[in-house]
Amino acid sequence: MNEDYLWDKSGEPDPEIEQLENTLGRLRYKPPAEPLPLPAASRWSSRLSFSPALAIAATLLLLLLAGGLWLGLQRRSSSTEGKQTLATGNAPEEKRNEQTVSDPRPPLGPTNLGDERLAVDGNKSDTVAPSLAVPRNKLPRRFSGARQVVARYREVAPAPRREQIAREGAHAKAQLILALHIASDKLNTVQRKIQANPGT
Amino acid sequence: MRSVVMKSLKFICLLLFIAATAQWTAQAQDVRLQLGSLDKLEARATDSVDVTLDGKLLELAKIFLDAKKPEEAAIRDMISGLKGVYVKVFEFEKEGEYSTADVDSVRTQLRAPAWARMVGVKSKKEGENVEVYMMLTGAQIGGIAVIATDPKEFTVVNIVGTIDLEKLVRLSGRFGIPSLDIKIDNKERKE
Repeated sequence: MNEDYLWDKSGEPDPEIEQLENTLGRLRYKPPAEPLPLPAASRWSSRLSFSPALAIAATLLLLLLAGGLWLGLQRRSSSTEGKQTLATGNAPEEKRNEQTVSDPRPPLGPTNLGDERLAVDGNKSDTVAPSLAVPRNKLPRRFSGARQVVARYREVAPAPRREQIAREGAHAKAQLILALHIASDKLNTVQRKIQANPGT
Repeated sequence: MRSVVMKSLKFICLLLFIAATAQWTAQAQDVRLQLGSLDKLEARATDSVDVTLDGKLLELAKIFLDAKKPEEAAIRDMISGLKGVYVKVFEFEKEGEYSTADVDSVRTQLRAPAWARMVGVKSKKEGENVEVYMMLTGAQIGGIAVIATDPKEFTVVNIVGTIDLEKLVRLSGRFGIPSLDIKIDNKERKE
């Protein structure tokens, strides 16, 4: 058998070799076709490449968002405190509300739903601006969640806390009156002495 | 060139803002007197009053003033522009328990240009001296300070904010207006 075919494909091929060639030839390496050129518009990598200005803007935006969120939370918590304060200052008002409102739950105090001094009771309150006092049944639609908020507020501000604020408020009031009284007393002393000795 | 001008303008604006803020802060601090140095007198005093009301506590006090009671309504009206009230009263059993240096520690603060000494009365017979200082911001009173001394008592009053002086004078009810019914027990006075 001439083996030249195996070396340089010259000579007579062996049928068995030929068959093997046909079988394995299907698996031969085929070089890929020429890659298609991408259109210029689809080259986004250069357009979205890292830019310091973009990074700064994104950071500022994130900071603004975080700041806004933080402020919102702060305002919410402070308004809850305010509600506690105002509610404690209105103990007699609350009692009256219990009689007028047929709701079995405890009386409603002022609440905050975007408007810090909105009263949800039916009566005018001393501590709440009367013009902002809205009867419960006349709550605007945007305050439809008021009852849920007030209910949640009651859970947040238990009675002992309200009592504590009431005590602090009464004490602060007494201190204020005392301080003004002392100041007034001293000014009166001056005035009295000036009047007694007008020539001095 | 243009960018340099813009940068300079921004820098100047920033400087102006800082200066304005600093001045405002300094002025606000000037109105409030530093009375901490007097705390040592409390140990020697037989009776003392220390009232420090500002910020939230003052707001709380305003809320608790009953508008239905005429006296409290009058106070509420009077103090609407108030930012702080600081009072220290020391009563001693015998004379000489406080020194001139203690009084001067307050008086020196009132020598600042913002303050003006409005009136001072001296009573040689009783040994009582009262000085009234005011800080005027425009036509309004921005702050009041009163120093009252007598051999057995030392009082400093510092009111920060706008207040109607005439109403304050009338408050203690010596000019036809009934006095406030204030019950000051020893416990509270000690506080």
